[in-house]
Formats: sequence, structure tokens, C-alpha cells
Amino acid sequence: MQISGTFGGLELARRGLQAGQRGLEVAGRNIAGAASPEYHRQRLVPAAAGSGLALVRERDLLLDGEYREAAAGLGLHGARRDALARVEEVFREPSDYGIQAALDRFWNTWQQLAGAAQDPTARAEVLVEAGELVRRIREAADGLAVRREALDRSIGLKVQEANDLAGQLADLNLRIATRASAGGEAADLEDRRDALLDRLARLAGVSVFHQPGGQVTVYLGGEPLVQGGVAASLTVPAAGAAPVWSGSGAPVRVGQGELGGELRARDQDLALVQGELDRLATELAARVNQVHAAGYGLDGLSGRPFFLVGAGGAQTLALAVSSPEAIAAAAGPGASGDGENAAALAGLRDLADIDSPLAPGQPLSVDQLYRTLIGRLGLDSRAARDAAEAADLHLQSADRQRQSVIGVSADEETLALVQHQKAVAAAARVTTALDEALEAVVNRMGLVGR
Amino acid sequence: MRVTNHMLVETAARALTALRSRMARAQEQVATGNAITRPSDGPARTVTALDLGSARRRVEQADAGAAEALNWLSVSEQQITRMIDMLQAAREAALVTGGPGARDPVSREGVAQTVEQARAAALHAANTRYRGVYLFAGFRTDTAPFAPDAAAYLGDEGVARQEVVPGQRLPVRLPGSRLLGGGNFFQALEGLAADIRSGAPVAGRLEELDRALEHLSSLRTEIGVRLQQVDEYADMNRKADIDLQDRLARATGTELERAVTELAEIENAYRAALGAAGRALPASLMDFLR
Repeated sequence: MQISGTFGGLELARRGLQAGQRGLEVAGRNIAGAASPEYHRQRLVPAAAGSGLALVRERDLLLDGEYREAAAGLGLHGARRDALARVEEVFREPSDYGIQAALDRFWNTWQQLAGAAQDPTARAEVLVEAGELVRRIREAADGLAVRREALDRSIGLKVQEANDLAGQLADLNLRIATRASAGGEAADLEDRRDALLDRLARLAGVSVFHQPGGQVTVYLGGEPLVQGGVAASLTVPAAGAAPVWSGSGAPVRVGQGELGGELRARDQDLALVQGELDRLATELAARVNQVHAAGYGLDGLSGRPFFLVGAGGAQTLALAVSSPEAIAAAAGPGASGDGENAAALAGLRDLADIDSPLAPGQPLSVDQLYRTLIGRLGLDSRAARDAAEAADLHLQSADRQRQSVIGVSADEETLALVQHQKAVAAAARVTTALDEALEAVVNRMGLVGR
Repeated sequence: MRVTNHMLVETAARALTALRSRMARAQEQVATGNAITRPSDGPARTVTALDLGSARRRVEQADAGAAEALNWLSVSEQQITRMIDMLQAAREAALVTGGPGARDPVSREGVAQTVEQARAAALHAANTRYRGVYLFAGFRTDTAPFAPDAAAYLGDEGVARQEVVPGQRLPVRLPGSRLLGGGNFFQALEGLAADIRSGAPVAGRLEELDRALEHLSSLRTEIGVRLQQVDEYADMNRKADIDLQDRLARATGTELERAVTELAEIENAYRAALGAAGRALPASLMDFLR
């Protein structure tokens, strides 16, 4: 840089003053942003073109990518963990208040009736325990239905949120482009955009590409969600369905993030549990009904079912028998002490001929089916919990790495403040010195003898 | 690595959150005594707990069944003993008629009446109702198995059974037809009384009574054996219940000392983390500049 002419020195001093002041401004800005995790540290560097300083906003695209990947993982496993924890609560196991205990007592009352078919108390107890079993199964089924509806609502809200974020990102893209073309800097807008991208990554797991012009393109499930100033949108076509792209109607391939986690929890984990509970109810009813219909009640009638179950599965389970005399405890008509059919019903406890995807190739009894279901639920929930914990640690680590680059250290900025303050003072000193020197030149030169 | 303010705050916040949730868990374990409060706490242990719980309830039911069985079998044994006693009494009374003092109609009438009373008592025993149930009527528990003339057995052949140990049902009552396995002693007694009155020889009737007595004795022995069986099964049930209780506690319970120690450790760690955060966070360069 060539300094020329009388006032060249003043020009230098002015630049020094300006630089110091800008430095103070940037340090001040950084300190103001220190508490905000979305703020990216800014600093002054020598400008590429000409003289002066340019403002640089710290970022690391690689670390951004790692952070977003970790966030998507935590979103996925965290959402699944929470959903499965809610499903576990429906069953209240292991305890005396769950379905297992009710099943045990149900079988026990048949065994008791087998030895006391003429005893009205024994008959009444069968109805009481059967009623309780039905109540607990229905309660569990209703609880699962409620969880499913809650997931439906949450998925709907998350789809809306994703659309909202996409819209904001497209808008920010435009505004950043406008600012850049007007020659200004857009650090605050870029901070905002990065924060939205972080949230979107956690929400749905997205891939982010920075275009040469400063724009950002966002892909979700391989399809563009945000391109320049244009945002695509998702929609849920019907209650309980999976999200699709609004334009094409094609399904959205979202396997990461909170949205991916809730979809998986609803459409795989919860669906399995609901399906197997339904299977339990229908198989229990079918087997009991078959044996019950072969027996005789105290009224001498035969061929009646004990349970009713509709197409709605476990939620529709009910007792078909309402009076103790109608319980078909006897194997033949006419003898009130005959409990042999009740004995056969009690024996169903050990009959293992139910096929279930939970135990392929291994027929199960009703009790075994229930236990296997609870065991599987426990395993899946535990796995999701562990995965969420690991994902959280991963995210912490990625966050630390990124913060190390983009974060503000108050101590650093304080030192910078001191430094720039001194620089300003020094520049002012230089200006004063030059001023005095110029004073001599301007006011005193050529005044010989005045 | 550059460390920023945000990182310091994050570290402290995460550590405290993690410790708090560990503390909550440890507290829950100590307070409830349960290590497993939901399946995900221990999936395999949960299934074991469900298994053991079911097994326990099953054993409890069988134990109640064993108590019932003892009841029915004891009462049946008592009534058969009564019948044996009555037959013995009738037999002894009939022997008298062979002796010198039994030729006159008055004393013969006395003996005949004794025999008839014995028959009535035996019939009463055979028609015993216990807890609303005719003991010797098979499954037809609401009708008396023998009419006053006891010409035939009116019940059915149903054998009432009771589960006394999981998976094992034992007979607890006899159908009345089995009482008559050594002959219809009611009719024999009726005949005996008539013969005594008429002065006819009674040797044949006495032989019938002997056969009936032998049969009733063997029935009684059969019941005695069964009572012993049930006693042994009841014992097995009790032992099984204790064993299952123990295993259930080990599968789902916490060892209290360990849980309390763990809680104390976590509390200490939490306090230390709070202290560390308190020291690290507030300090900055600002405090040291003019």
C-alpha cells in the first residue's frame, strides 16, 4: 500500500482508527452473541480485494454435517424410546394388576369349578375373574389405541413443522441472496438459517448442500425440500397414513429424525403390539369357546360360546355368558356335580398351538404368547433407550467439536476489546501527532519573521 | 481445542441432568424394593417374573384344591367307617340268634329291630350330604343315591376329581355303586331282619355281610392311601411356593444394601458436580480487568 502526499499519514491513522473501531464493534457483537448457541463467531480478516478488512463468519461445513447427522440419530431413537415407554405403561407388568395375573386367576377359577361344579360360589367366581380378564385386555387395547392416536397427532404436527421450516429456509435463502447482491453481509441471517437447518435435521434427518452463490439446498429422503427460494411441502393424506409429497403424492422416505422415529414406532413397533394383543384375544376366545360349546350348563343346554370377540379385536372382547347356570362346566347333561368340561377348559392353559411372528416355528399357549409379547416390548424399549443414550453422547461430542470452532469465548473477546481499545487510542495518538506536525507545516511554514 | 462459554455451560447442564435421572432411578429402587418396574428395565427378568408369578398362583390354587380333597376324602372315609361299624353291629346281633336266648319271638324281635336300625344308619351314612353335596352320588350331587328300599343305586358313575398339585387331579369321592361292590348290603340287612323274625337260618346272610364288610374295608384303605398322597402333595406345594417366592424376589427385587449405597454414591457425585459447575462457570477475564 503506497502512502503518498502530505496527508498520507493522516489517511493511515484514519484507517487504523477505523480498524480499531470495527474491531471493537465485532468484539462487542461476539460478546452479545456469546450466550446464544446459534450465534457464529465473527472476525475481521484482511480483505481479498484492495485494502481494508472483511468480516468472516466462522463455520465448518463438515462439522455442521456431523452435528446434523447426530441430531437426526438422536431424534430417531429419542422419539422411538419415548413412544415405546408410553406403550410399556399400558401393560403394568410385572405386577398383580396386569393381564398375566388376570389370566392366571381365570384359569384357576376353571380348575376350582372342575372340583365343585355344583357350588354356586365357584361358578360366580368364574364369571368374576373372566370379567376382570376381559376388562384388563380391553383396557390395554384401548390404551394402545390412545397411544396410536397420540402418535398420529404428533406426526401431523411434525409434518407441519417441517413444512414451516422449509418455508422459512426458502425465505432466508432469498433474503441472503438479496443482501449479498446489495453488497452487504448476512451473518445474522445465516445464523438463523443454520439454526433452522439444525432443527430440521433433528426433526426429519436432512442433507444440506451449500451452493456456490450462498444458497442452501435441502434434501429429504433423496428429494429436494428446499431449493433456492422454493420450498416443497409434505402432507398426511389420511388419518394414520404415512406422509407424502404434496406435489407428486409419492411417499416420503423419512427414516431419520423425530418424524422417522415416530413413524417407525407407530407403524412397526406399536402395530406389532396391537396385532399380537388382538391375536391373544381372538385365540383365547376361539379356544375357550370351542371347549365351552361342547359342554353343558346347569340348565342342560349346550353349544354356547363363553366369549364374544368382534372384528375390532381385543377392544371388542366381551363375555357371552351372564348367568352362572349357563357356564358349561359339565361334559354331559343332567348332573350338577359334573365338572369335567371345566377341567378341560382349565387344561387349555397348557395348550400350545398358537402361531405368532414373535416366535416363528414355535407354537405358543395363550400365556406364553402374552409373556413373549411383553418380553419383546421390553427388549425393543430397552434397545431404543440404549440407542438414544448413545445418540445423545454422539450429539454431545459433535456439538462440542462444532462449538469449538463457531462458539464465542468471553475471555477471548475481552482480550480483543482491550487490544482494539489500545489500537484506537494509539491511532488517536498518531492522529494528534500528525495533526501537530501538519499544524507546523500548514500554519507556520513560510511565515518568516511574522 | 478451543473451549467456549457455551461448552462449559453445556457440560455442566448435561452432567447435572444425567446425575439427576440416575438419582431418580436409584431412589425408585430403594423406595419400592423393585429393580424392575417396567419391562425395559430388564426384559428377560420381566418374563421370568411373569413366569414365576404364574407358577405361584397355580401352586396356590392346587394347594387350595389339596385342602378341598382332604376334606372330601376325610368325610367319605368317616361315612364308610360308619357303614362298616353298622354292618359289624348287625352281624354281632345276628350271631346271638344262634344261641340259647334267642328262640323266643320277643328276643328275636329285639334283634331284628337292632338289625333294622343298623340298616337305617348305614343308609343314612350312604346318603350323607356334606356342604350341600350327596357324597356317594357320582355327579348327580343333588339327588340322594339310595331310596329307602335301596333296591338300586340312583346316582351316576361320575368320579369327582380335584387338582391337588399342578397337573394332577385325584378322585375325591366315590360313586355309590362302588359301595355295593361287595353286594347290596342294605338288602342283605333287610333280608337278615326278616329271617331273624321268621326264625330262618341266617348263615347265608352273614356270609353276604362278610363279603360286603371286606369290600368296604378295602374301599376305606383306598381312601386312606389317597389321603396320604394328598398330604404329600400338599407338602410339595408348600415347598414349591417358598421356592418360587424366593426366586421371584431374586428376579425382581433389589438388594437393599447395594441400592442404598448406590444412591449415596450418586448423591455425592451430584454434589461434586454442582460444586464444579459453581466454580467453573462464573469466572471470567472481566473480573480481573480494571
